[in-house]
Amino acid sequence: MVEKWLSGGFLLVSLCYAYFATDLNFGILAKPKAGFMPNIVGTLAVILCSINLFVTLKKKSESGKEDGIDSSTAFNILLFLAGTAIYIFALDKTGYFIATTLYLFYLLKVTKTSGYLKPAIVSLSVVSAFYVCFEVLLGVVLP
Amino acid sequence: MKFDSRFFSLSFAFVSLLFIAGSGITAATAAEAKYPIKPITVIVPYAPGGSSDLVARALAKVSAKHIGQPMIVVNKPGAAAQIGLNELGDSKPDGYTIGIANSGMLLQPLVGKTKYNYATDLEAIAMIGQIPFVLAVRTDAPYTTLEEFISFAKANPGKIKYGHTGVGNMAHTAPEQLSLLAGLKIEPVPYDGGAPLIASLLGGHIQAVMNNPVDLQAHFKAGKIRVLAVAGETRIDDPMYKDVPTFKEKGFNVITILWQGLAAPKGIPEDVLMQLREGVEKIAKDPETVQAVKAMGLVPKYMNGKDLAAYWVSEQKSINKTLEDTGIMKVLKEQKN
Amino acid sequence: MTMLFQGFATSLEFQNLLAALIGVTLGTVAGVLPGIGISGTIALLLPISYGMNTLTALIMFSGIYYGAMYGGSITSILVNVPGEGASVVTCLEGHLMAKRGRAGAALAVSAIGSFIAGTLGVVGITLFAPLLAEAALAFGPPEYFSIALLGLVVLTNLSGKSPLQSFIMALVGLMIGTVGIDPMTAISRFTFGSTNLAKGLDFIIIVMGMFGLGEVIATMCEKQTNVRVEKVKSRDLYPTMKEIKRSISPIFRGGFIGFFMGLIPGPSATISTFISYAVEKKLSKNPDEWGNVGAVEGVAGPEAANNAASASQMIPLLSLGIPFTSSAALLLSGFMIHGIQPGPMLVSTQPIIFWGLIASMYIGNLMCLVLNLPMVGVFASLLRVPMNYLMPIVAVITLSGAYVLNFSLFDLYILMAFGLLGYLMQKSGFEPAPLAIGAFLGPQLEQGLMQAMVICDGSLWNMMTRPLAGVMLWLTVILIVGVILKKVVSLIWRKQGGD
Repeated sequence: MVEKWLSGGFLLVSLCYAYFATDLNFGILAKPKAGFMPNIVGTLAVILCSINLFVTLKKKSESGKEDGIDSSTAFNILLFLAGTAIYIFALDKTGYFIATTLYLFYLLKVTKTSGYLKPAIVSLSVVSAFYVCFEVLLGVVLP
Repeated sequence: MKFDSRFFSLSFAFVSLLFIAGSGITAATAAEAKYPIKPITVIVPYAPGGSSDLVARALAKVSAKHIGQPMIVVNKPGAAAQIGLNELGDSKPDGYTIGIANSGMLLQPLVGKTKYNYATDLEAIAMIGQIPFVLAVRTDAPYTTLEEFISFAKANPGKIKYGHTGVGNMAHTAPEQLSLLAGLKIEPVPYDGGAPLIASLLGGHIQAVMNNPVDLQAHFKAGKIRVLAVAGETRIDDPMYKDVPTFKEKGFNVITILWQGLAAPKGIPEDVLMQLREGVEKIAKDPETVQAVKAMGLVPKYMNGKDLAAYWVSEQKSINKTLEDTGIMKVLKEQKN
Repeated sequence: MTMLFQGFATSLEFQNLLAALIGVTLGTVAGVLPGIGISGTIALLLPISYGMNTLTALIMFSGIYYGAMYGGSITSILVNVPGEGASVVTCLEGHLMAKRGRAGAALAVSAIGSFIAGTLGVVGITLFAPLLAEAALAFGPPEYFSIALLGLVVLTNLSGKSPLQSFIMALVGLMIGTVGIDPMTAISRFTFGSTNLAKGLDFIIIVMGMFGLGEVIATMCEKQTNVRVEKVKSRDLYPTMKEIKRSISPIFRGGFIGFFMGLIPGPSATISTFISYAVEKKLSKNPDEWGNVGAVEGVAGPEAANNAASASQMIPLLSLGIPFTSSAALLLSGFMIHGIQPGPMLVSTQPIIFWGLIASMYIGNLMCLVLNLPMVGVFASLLRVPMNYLMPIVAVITLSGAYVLNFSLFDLYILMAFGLLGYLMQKSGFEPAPLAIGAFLGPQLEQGLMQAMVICDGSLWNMMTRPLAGVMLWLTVILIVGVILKKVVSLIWRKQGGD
């Protein structure tokens, strides 16, 4: 399932890329311009992706093996991605320390770690360690 | 005992409170009294190791001595210096963020949609050093003078390939200007930086390079390359180059000068700007800076902020004219259909 | 020779030894923390070095430079997060080894391999520096292009089950490599007007996402979350005799590959790891271990290669004054700040500095080994941390490291997107490695191609008749034709068999 979707996705990406590559000038062989390689790569990718999609769709009927993602995994991935997106957004607003501590705690809960105290202590101490490592030892400026 | 420790911690808290309040007050008064109370960040919009980076670091080395605060060099390379320059333009105009400005920043605003026109949207602080470009070839090339080079190029059209560090870059406009004036047909080969460009010249994969002597001097000293001409108003004031003629002497009006300086975001308070300009003047004239700037192959030349601002604008006009005359502008626009 | 001994005498002075120790320690730390690279660390120390004696400062900077190569493999092996290009390949087999409880072995082999190859590299510098520098110049743009193309095709062929899918991945990688302002023509491509995209998609961000976050998602979100990694016993922390025996020839082969590749301009340390991986996989007596349970040769060879390459990259830097990589460029800036101009004249004008530095590299490599070997146990036992704690922590390390790399929040969204892509690819059998290689080699491939086309007057034939480039290009052609023929023959054969 995933393989079919990805094959399709890559074909779509290649098509878009090849389309936007035509905006760039190919130049001539002795004087290639900015569109030289993008056009070659784009065209090649569209051809190969089409072949691949065809092969993949056909292969499905032969072997019955599923590579799908079940619903609980999908839900977890969604939780993970949403949390990460919010974290990145919050990083700028609340600063590194608070945002990262909360984020780590959240992820620990996503992995179904039991209890509240232990994950909280772990996230606090791990993030403190990072903070010291980056900010103090390496002099990096964190948000 | 119990009483003791409680008393101790209480008094400790009180003292620290006082201390925090006190430091806040002193900080506030200091801000009014004297401008640099914390380190100044210098944005270098190029990767470390380049000429701009070295200039910034040479300045940073002595800054604490002259303005009382250190300078911290931050490299923000990428996107033809636009990443770093945009950040400089966006930064708070309080005098604590300044950046390297140089002749490489003239082109982008002319051709593309950049966020700022750096020549007018930044506040020039000072020029630190400059150097004219030179035309260099391999020592074993069949031409030893500019005249021979030109007659060779005329006799073998398309045979001479020169490298440059980006379309429209000064290393591209300068040779194009020459070929326009001398009626040559030479082919440009694009590179993404000075190092691979010079490696290619030394290896004989390209025949000529017009670049700043900063990157070339070690090989010139070692006798691997020959410098045919200088693209300045006068010859370079260095015994090493005293026998190298200018293009002007030979009748070609090719002038391409690299300069390095500092700029601040627009809107910086007048008095802070004045202090910054004064401080940088002292830094630039420090013998140690002069020595460092010389060692990297630039000619130390201090120019104050006002003059630099005017020079910046006039340089941009002249490069625009070169771009139009040589047809590079057309080449640039042709990259997109 | 006497000069080298004098060099040793100088570099054994207390302050220089201390500088080497600080350098390699910081280098290792920088290598371990993804995102903080060699460049960042040297840049950080430049201001501190102003007050130091010139040689001492240079010894410290060089220590960071080669020390980072030791540290880089640690996160790759343990948690599949490569901190820089040169340790991407180490992820492939190294992390698989870690998954079956052989993390200690992988770490130890990589430290030993790094030491042997690093020392070999320094011997190479000592004996042949000026000679090799001249030889490196024979490589021009047509050669860069051919090397990149050959590397891409060889690797695409080797990894993964379907050559077609691997090749598509490589092409997608090339596409990613073209996003941003093109440094040669100064126009922005595929940026859709976004300044964030204008600086291009950072290769490290992409691999950190695809390998690191992809792995995190897979382990964290799938049902069997609470499966722990096999319990690591103390005696399993170090490699067995058999593993060491199997690693010896890959280390030497990798060392030689890395040393010679390092002389070639461009990101050759990384390319050399790819090539060493390919060579070892071809030569391996246990081909079924590769990509399955993790083959120790696949760690030993590439790790040796990147250390040898980082040593031999010093050759063009010291004897030509030309930095071929960005970290070498920063090293150059460190030299220049202290008034030393590397180049053809360095050996004769500054013999003490030159030989002192070389001698310090022998000592520094030894220090790296001594520092790293005892740590192997510590690092390997980190995997005893239960998965439900380890994976979220890895996610935080990856995100923090990616942020520190460019101080860009936008990069983190890119990281997240590639994490998801990496997971989906892992699920469906598309290989992430060719994509990474494509994205990495893309810019070099394109530059080499554009330059080569002008230099060779627009004729591919001219390029294929150049001695060095020609050999590589013909090899590439043979490889591609071979793969297609094989496919066609098998199709025909199957058709006939089916009838």
